[in-house]
Order: sequence, then C-alpha cells, then structure tokens
Amino acid sequence: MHKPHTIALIFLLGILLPIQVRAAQDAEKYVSLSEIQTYTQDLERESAELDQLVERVRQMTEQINEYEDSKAESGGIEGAIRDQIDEIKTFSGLTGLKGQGVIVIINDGERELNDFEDPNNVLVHNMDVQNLVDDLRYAGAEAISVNGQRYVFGKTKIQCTGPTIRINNEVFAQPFIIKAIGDKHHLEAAVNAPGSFGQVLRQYGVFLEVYTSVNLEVPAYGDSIRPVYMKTAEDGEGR
Amino acid sequence: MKKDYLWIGLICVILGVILAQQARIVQRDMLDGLSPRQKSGELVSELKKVREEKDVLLDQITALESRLAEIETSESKESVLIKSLNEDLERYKIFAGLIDVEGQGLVVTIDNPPVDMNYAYDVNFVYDYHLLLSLVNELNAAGAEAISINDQRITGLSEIRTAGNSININLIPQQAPFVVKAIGSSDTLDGAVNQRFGIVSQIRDKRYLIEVKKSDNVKIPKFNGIVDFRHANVTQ
Repeated sequence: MHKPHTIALIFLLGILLPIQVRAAQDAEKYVSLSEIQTYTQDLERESAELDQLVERVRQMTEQINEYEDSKAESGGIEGAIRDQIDEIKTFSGLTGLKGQGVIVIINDGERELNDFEDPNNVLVHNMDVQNLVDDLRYAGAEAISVNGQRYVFGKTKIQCTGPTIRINNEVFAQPFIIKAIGDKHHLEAAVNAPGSFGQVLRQYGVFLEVYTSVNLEVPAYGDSIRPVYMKTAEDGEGR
Repeated sequence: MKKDYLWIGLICVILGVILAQQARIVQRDMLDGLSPRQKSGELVSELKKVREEKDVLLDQITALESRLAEIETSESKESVLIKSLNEDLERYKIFAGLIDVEGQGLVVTIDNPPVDMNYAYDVNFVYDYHLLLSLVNELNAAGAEAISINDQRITGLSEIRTAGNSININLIPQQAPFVVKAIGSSDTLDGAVNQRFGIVSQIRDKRYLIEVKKSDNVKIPKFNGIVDFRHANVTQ
C-alpha cells in the first residue's frame, strides 16, 4: 500500500541530498539580510574613513609645498612653521575668534510651580548647558563660549557645584550666556527646532532666548594645555 | 470533505501570493533588485576595493610624514629658532589631537547585549548616544588628556550623534562595539566612571555589556585632518 509513496520519497531524498552537499561545498552560501546590513554598514564606515584620509593627504601635500615655497623664498621654513602653529592653535581653540553666530541666554524659569512640583524643573542644571552646547556643536558651531569661557569639547568640563556651575575651573551662577560662531540660521534652528533640547527646556518653563548676531567674539581657551600623563607615541601605528 | 480541500487549496494560493509579494518587497527595498547572493558579492567586492584604496593612502601618508619630519629635523639642526618653533608646534599638536599619544589610562568597551527573545524590542546602543556623550564628559571631569572612540580621536569639534543606524564620530559612522580609550590617571578615571550610580552603572542598567580596564599603556591615534573654519576669524 505504502510502497509507491516510499519509493517516491526515497527518490526525492536522493535528489535533495546531492543538492544540499553541493550547496555546502559552494563558497557562496545562503546570505542573510542582517549579514548584508553589516556589509553595508562596514562599507559606509570605510568609505567615510577613506574620505578623511584623502583630506589628510591633501593637507600634508599642501604642507610640504608650503615648506618648499618658504625655503625657496627666504631660505628657511620659519614662516611656514609659524603659519602651521597659528592654524593648529585656531583649530584647537587657543585663539580668540569672531564671526556671525548666535547668543543663547538661559536662566531659571519665572513661572509659578504646581502643587508639590519639584523646583528643579525650572532651574538650570549643568546638563542643560551641556546639552545645549552639544546641539550647537552638531549644528556646525566653530567656536563656543559659556559666560566668557571658551568651550572646547574633550577639554572643557561643565560640572555641577551646588547652586553654581564650574566651567574650565571657574564658577558661574545663572544666567548662562552661550555664544556660538557658525552659520547663524543653522545655529538658531538648532535651539528652536521642534524636538531640539531647547524646546524641551522651554516646555519645562526654563527661560531661554536666542538672538542672532552678525559679529560676535569668543575668547581663547585659557586653561593649562600641558599634559601630565600622555606623551607622544614613539612607534606610531601607521596612522 | 471535498469542500475542505477546496478551501485549503484556496488558502494555499493566497499564502503563496503573499509570500511572493513579501520576497519581492524585501528584494526591492533592501537589495536594490538583486538576489541576496549578488548583493553581498557586490558589497564584498566594493569593500575590498575601498580597503585597498585605504591601504594605499595610509602608505602615502607614512611617506609624507617621514618627508615632513625630514624637512623639520634638517632645518632644526641649522637653526635654534626653528628647533624651538618645532617644539612649540609639537606641544600645540598634542593639545589639538594631531599626534599619536600614549600613556596610562582606561579602556572602556561597550557592546550590545545578545538578542533576547523575552524582550519585544531590539536594544541597540546606537540609539543611546547620550550615554556615550556622558561617558566622555565624565572622563573629562576626571582629568582625561586624550580620548578616542573606535580609534577616532575626540577633538574640540568632534560630534557624537546618532545618524541613521550608526553613531557619527568625526563624520565616520560607527557601530557597536564601541571602544573608548582615555589617557589620564588610570585610578582616578576608573574611580570616576565606576562611581555608585555613575555612568557605568547607568549603561549596565540599560542591559548593555560594558567592560572597564585600567592599562599602563593606552595608545590613542591622532585626528586625521584639520577642520577649516568658514565663519570664524581670528581676533587681534
């Protein structure tokens, strides 16, 4: 009774088995979508790094040309080195800068509290200032200062010190005035846009105003730049 | 009895159509009309090409670097002024993050948890970029002198921000795992991030895997390139 079925199934098995073995032998196995996503992300990262390196090569070639020009003109590379020092100082925040940008004023809120509401809701905290500064940096700010202290990401710390905030080892109380140099419309939008951190602060009732300016000044970073723990790596890893 | 088979047959047809539709949508939207094999083959070959180009550029950079160093040292030998200027240059480069540095410090590794069927949603650190930002802030507050994330040096203008399905750092999209390296007093850095209710426990509370390791010799690469300012001009 079952014989025809059995024979048919065995026949099928016989066909499927070699196919399976062949597929396993083949280098191109089945690829899952998540694998493809990983490849796509890898590719995105590597191409962005490639762009960065191309830019680096361009800058270094320019540098060598500058040295050679300077040598040909004045017999030395003093001028070229001075130029490079100036450029690096500007990049790292060690010079005062001026240009168009925005002034953000942030202060404790004036509104009446609801019953049993936490007063912290309307006060300015270090994280509020930090987040605003981060939003401005993402929007392309080239230089930022808070209450006259230059903010350098990776160097400046904005710390809570009770009723005050410590920025670059100096203590400030409210109000906080953030100045940012960059495209003034982009920066204004970064604070005012729906979903931005500025919008969140306004909803809490914190006082927040943004003014654009065609010319504002940001001072240089004033703290010590002398490292204690780090030194130049002897054997650079090739990059 | 016969009617049942008819229904089952009909349902099978509908199921088949839906299945085919599903496959087509995936192919159109995710794979640009290619089969998974073709697509992955394409990606792999492109990746290989980009990596080769990168290697060529890295070689070129090493050559250019040695050439620059040659010019600088040969000129330094001739004049004391150039020598002191070069020392100045080095000092500013270290501060700006344009030189490889090493020293004692901390290595923090953050990774996504393995997929857990008990949770309906995916946990991906990419969407919690503010934790990475806080970590950098805490390291700074503990006196870190140089920080890098996945070998991207953090400079005065670096951004750490979710963009699409990655976190952009220096405009390079990065995925988990994130390796954060910091140079500074390793005891102070370790104590600061491991504070009770501190940043490490905040990250751990969200089920991410995080490992903190003190090290006597952390190496942090330099930032590749200088950002040109378009709006800001030097005062004085």
